[in-house]
Amino acid sequence: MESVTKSKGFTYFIESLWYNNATFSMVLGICSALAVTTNMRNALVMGLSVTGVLIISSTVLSAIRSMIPERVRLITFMLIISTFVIMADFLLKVYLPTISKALGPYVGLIITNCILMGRAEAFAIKHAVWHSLLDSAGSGLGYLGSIMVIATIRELLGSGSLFGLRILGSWWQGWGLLMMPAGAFFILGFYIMTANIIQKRFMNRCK
Amino acid sequence: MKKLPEELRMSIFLIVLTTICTVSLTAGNLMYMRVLAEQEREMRMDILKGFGVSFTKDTFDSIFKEFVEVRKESTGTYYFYEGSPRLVSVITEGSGLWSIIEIFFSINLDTFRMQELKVISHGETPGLGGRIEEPWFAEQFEDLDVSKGVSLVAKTTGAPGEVDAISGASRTSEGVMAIINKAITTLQNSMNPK
Repeated sequence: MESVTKSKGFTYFIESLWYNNATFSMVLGICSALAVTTNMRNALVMGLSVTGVLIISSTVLSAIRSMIPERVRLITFMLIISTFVIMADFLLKVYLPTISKALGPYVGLIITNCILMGRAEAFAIKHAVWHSLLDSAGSGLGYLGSIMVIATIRELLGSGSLFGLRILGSWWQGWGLLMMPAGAFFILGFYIMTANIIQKRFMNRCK
Repeated sequence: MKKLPEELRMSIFLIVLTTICTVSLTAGNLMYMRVLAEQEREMRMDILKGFGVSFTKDTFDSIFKEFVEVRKESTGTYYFYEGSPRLVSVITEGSGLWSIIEIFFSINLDTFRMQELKVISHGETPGLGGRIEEPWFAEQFEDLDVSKGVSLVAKTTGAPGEVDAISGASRTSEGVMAIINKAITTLQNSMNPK
């Protein structure tokens, strides 16, 4: 077990999952984090889509990294990422048509999500396939975790339910503000603050 | 082997990569279209079931062709059923406050009363405008006289076509009202051509 936690891949995974968390450390991918977090079901599907596309595109990019000419690498990233995003969009439309409609344009907009381009440029292009896979899995799960936390707070307080199931009694009127984009900013701000306090105060860096 | 000049290497790489991406996306799109056609067929089955016609999977296509006339208008798709009573089902969409709202409803053409209404999809604020998906909202439309359209009002006075709007979501209510009324106007115009 010790050898696992000390391995390089594990360090990369934890780095991108926690210390360089996309949402609260790097503040990337915020647009979708605000837009899809009105309920947990949408957030889960969106988070899984981002994670899936991120892992696949990082792995593929890392595998062909020696072939990519330096000057056209950004075009290459875009082509590969957008191909997988459109595939993910097809899959959602076929298997989860209602959620796909509720997510609206945000699945297609994963193409412009900074997390994907960021991980491709900062990591996948320079590291081995296995390490890129772990790094992108960490980033994706970090994003998924963050939007799930925000969605839980917003859905529970905003409409008194979790995953569409009513949790709070009918006495809970629903805090409408949290359902609005403005409310998302408040929750996001508190989330980033709390996560940074925890990160700085209670955790020692494992480097 | 002599190394290729960089420009040539770049061009070849991009051409190959683009070809691979395009081919895989085309393949994905073909499969997606097939599933989409299947979904459309299932939706038509639901509509035929809603008209009270019995059919099996094999007889569906011929029965649908015989009894139902499909008309695509600018406001949506209309499925006319020439039986007794004469019915029409409409799938229409329009904008609410934030999002496109898709609505299904059917009208009895003999009495011009609405039979049922369903909000198929929307992206309105959950807890406010999003309450249009709750059953109580749709149930208000059952057996509603819609010959003069519908009006979503704060307090019903008993006039024909009135239903309760959603408090705290006037823009969504107005959107829903406009979507339904536009579809009904188009329907009336197509039935009584000038």
